[in-house]
Amino acid sequence: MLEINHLSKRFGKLEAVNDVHLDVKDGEIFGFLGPNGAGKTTTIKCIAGLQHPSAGFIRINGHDVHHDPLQAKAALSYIPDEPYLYEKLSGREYLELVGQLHLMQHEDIQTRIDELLKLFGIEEYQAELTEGYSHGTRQKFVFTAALLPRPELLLVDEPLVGLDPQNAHLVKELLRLIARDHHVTIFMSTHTLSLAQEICDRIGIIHRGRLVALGTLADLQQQASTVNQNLETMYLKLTGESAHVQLSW
Amino acid sequence: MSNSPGNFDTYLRFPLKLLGLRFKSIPRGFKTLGIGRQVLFVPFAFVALGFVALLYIITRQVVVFTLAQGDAGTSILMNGLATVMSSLFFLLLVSTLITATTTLFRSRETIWLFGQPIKPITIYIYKAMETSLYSAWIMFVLAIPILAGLVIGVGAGTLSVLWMVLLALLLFAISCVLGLLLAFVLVWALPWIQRYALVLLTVVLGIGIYSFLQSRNSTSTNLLPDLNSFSAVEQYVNGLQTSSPLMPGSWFSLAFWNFVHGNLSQALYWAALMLTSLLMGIEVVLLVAKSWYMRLWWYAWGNGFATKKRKLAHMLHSPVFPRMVTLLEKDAKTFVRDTRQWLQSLSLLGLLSVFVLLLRQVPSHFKVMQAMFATMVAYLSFATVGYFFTTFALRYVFPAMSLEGRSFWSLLTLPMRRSKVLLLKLIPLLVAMLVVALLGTVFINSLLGLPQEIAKLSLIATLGVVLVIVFLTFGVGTIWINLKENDPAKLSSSLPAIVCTMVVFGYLTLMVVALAVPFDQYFKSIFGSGTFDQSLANAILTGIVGSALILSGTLWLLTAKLFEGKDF
Repeated sequence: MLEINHLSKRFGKLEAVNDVHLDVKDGEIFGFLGPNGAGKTTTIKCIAGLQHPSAGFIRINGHDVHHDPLQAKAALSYIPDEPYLYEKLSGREYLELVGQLHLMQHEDIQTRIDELLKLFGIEEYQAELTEGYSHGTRQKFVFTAALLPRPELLLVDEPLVGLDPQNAHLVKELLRLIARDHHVTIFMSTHTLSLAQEICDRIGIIHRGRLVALGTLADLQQQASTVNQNLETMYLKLTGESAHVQLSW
Repeated sequence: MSNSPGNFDTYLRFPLKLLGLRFKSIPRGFKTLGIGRQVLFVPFAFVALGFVALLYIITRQVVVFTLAQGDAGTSILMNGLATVMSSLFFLLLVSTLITATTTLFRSRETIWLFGQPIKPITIYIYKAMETSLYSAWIMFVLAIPILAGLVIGVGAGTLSVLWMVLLALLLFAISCVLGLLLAFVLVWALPWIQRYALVLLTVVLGIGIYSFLQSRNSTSTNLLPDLNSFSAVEQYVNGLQTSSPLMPGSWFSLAFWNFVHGNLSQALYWAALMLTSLLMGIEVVLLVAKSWYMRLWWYAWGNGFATKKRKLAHMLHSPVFPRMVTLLEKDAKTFVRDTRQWLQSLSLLGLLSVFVLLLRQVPSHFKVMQAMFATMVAYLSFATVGYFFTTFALRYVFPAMSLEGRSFWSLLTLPMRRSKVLLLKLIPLLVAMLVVALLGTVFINSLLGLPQEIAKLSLIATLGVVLVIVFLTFGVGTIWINLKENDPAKLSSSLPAIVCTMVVFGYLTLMVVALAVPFDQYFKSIFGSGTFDQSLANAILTGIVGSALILSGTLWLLTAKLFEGKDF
């Protein structure tokens, strides 16, 4: 479904992503972990076609994202780390805009919006302008918009930021459900290690632009030479980020 | 615990320090543009400097020519200076007012600042200085070549130059202070304006239509002198009152001309009036800010701009051009629901109305002079309409892509080519601008009762020029897209917008010069000293339209290419 082939992205002298190479299969939930500034968001933006690779290429369903963007993007939905919406549109208008720009049928748009709004429990906000929404409500509308056109590949940048425990649980269940029952591929970057441990089929750890570990939880335990330890311990070992905390006051 | 800051720190040192930090980011921002985009500034900068030089040369020539006409010329210059300075004063006031409502009351930076141990009045002074600088610098770019041309043309000495600089600073400072003061009223009134937006719009339009109809009763034929009689013209010009004595533009003119003519006591009187007004204005603004800034800031974030629950509105589902209609509807809703946007549009509309009302003053049935006068006005109005369209394009076309804001990812991740996203945004703007240009020119031509040859020239040339203006402003606005800024007024006064304005002005000046040839021939044919060569006029028109098409096509290709490769 998703093929990232020796992807590199430079910003001037900074090598944000360096030779990342991986494949994600149909219906797989892939967790992309890494410290702040490791290159997670840059990689996701390259997959979404928002940034251009300095080297390498990305294919979705065999279509190059940057040379054949129409076919490639027809399969994907993107959920950014900051849930920005058009502030002067109401939530429902925003969802209708997304549906219409995806050239969905009118009846289908309305039915699906109603279904998704109910699922996320945000029906009461649909008539308000999005500028008045809380961060969590915006996040739920962004999720709704992403699921509206029934994507085959869902790119999620930090899915649980701003969500309360009930909705965080809902999102986890939903991601599991769409991957299992509808074979939607999910490529998800996160700092929430428990989420990755709980729902991801495979995990990739990126550090300073390089993919330093890739595989199932068991593979990673093997790579980190740790047995029966949780993901946090392995993650800290692989990224070398286990800091000795000291502070003068 | 630190000692509380004194007045010097509160009112001057800390605001200036914050301002210094703010402006440090400009060169850093320029560095992050990358060498490719930095290089693009070079040709623009040349054209911009060319525009400033051209404005200076034209002003100096006009001043020298007018002075050569004797007393009537001097009178025209005195009145003209007052009118120009009053216009700049008014423009700066409106610009400061609109910018202040955002920078002072809705800037995200203020949220952070209010969380710091800084007095609200310090924050206010810093943001007020920033607002004034944002809105005033384009005025300086426009005023410096005009005033320099005037001073050199008049042949005034060094002292007069320094005097004029001082007066210009005073005038612009008064305008900014007044704008800052009115911003308090506007922010307070915005919720009511939003609630009664339709009523207010109807009232304003009603007043406009009423004034327009009333102006029929005072057409130029009643007011203007017999243009065949030079003494009547001279008497008329001397009696002109083009700027109200209540306007600081007139104080500026009086202070300057009295100084030039050696009447020092009068010059000092008017300058003192300006200085006193400024100091009084600053005092009032600070008093109001001390009591009201923080309250209104809370009001603006908490209540004033709060979202009301509205009746559920649906997006249209169009069977024809569905994506374009959807985007168009989204933009229209955003425009109507954002009070700042249509307030700015109203001020532009006001300027256009003043232009049309002035045009109605042009004589339409002077026996011998009719054709010449109307043609001259048509020629001038071609330039004026061009400048108006530049302003419109800067306000609506230039920020079109930037106003997509941080939600732009919604469009960029759609299964559409980026160039198609651009086209979907550009086509409605282009069509709207061309239709307005077409209707506007036909209306002006019919108001002036122009002969067919000149009407055709004026119409086709205007359409060609508007085409280039739209592609250029759209291109520059897209290449230097700024998704972090959501205030169109600020986008229109950004560095790329200023450079774009000057490039367009430079292009317009070239077109005006090219059109001078057929217009000059037409004048001569009226007075019987030559013939109007239709084939030459056609050749020039073909050149204008051809170059417009080539320029627009090139600009489109360049914009689409750069936009396709841009990272977001």
